[in-house]
Amino acid sequence: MDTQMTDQLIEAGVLLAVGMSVVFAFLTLLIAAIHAIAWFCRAFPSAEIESPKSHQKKVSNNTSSTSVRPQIAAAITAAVHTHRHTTLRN
Amino acid sequence: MEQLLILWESTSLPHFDYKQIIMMFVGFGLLYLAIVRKFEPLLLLPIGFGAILTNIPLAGFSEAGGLLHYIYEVGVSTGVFPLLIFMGVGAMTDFSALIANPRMLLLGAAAQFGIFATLFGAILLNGLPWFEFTLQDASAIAIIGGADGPTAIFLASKLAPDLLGAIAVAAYSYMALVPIIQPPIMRALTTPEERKLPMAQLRVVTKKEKILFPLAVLVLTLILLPAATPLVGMFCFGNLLKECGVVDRLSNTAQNELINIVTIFLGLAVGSRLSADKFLTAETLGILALGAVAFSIGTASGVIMAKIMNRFSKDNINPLIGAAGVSAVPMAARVVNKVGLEANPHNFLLMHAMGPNVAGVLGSAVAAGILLALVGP
Repeated sequence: MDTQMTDQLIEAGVLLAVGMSVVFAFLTLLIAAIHAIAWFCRAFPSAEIESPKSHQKKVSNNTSSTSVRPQIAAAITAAVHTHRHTTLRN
Repeated sequence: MEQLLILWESTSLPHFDYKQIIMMFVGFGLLYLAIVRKFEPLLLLPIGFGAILTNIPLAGFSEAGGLLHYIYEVGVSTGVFPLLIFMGVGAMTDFSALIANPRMLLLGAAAQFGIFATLFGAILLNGLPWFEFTLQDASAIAIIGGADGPTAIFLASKLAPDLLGAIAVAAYSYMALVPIIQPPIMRALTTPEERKLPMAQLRVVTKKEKILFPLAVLVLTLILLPAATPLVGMFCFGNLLKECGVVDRLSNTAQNELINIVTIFLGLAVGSRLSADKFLTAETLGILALGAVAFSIGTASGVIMAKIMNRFSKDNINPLIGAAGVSAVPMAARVVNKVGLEANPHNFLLMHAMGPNVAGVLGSAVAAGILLALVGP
């Protein structure tokens, strides 16, 4: 084996060590980045998932004030409607 | 009589070199593999046809002024075509499986060992009288182990343009041969019990995570490994087009029309490098052999890494999925699924294997960036 080939083999060895270390380091950092993204998304959920919750919250908050929940309003309307029908018949 | 001679001279027959005939048979062989055997037909068909065209005497397809010459110069020697393909691949890739289980990136990293280990093989071949690979040649050949066609073509066009034809053909052939090369290695390195291991179901990934992922990859690459940004950048761009949901037209173009158009030109251009003087050499045989070695070592190191991770992880990791770390999306993941089903008919590993599979794409792009930075011109 001549010296040139030995030099090349040493160079390949260095490439192997540096290359694999960098690949592992880079992808390990990426693992950390994915975990960070997942944490971020849990901490600040996106708007479309958040909106039904916030909507519900608003509605439940509003029950304490004068406004009426739509389901209850619908029920009252139906009751009044039936009541009027029955009173008219009588 | 003279007219007859002139007519005879104007046909190809008196100008054929036997080497050109051999190369045309190679071209027809690639067409056969593509059409009959369905081996990577999208690329092997244009490559095979390009190989036939480029070896036609008098036509001058690949000489200055010829069609294939211009296509090659415009798209391949500049590195533009493989990068556009990479953008399309990005637009077709779903990273959900990887984002749900980020540890799979380690499998994608381990499988790149095949690339770097093959450097030794290429240099040792120089001990034989027929080979004279430089370190740049060796790096371009070794990237075949990444089992990623565009990456291999990109790196070869930068480091060893003379070997590009053989490297591209080897890369795509081995990607097509994944179902034949990988299973014996996977079975040899795992026990039947390991192959039966079921894995926990993956969590649902939100749209926001999918949008942030390519941006995170891009930022990390541009800070730490700018040499890999052509590949990784285009890949992330394509993926963002897909995931952001506001540019469906661009995303559809990237993953359909554009990638198809570029594939036609890339295939023909690569085929044009299959000229007799460049392909019919001992070096081509060396490249084919080294490509197989690179691919096998990559598969084996992925499986071994998965075994190690399984030992130290509280959740089961089926070692088979390590084999998918050598990109070759989605063929490698399908092979993992198939081998897994043979061991346990209720064990569907496809989604679990997609994680290391797409991690392998990133891993080989990073490895290409490292090689470009360290041995590049």
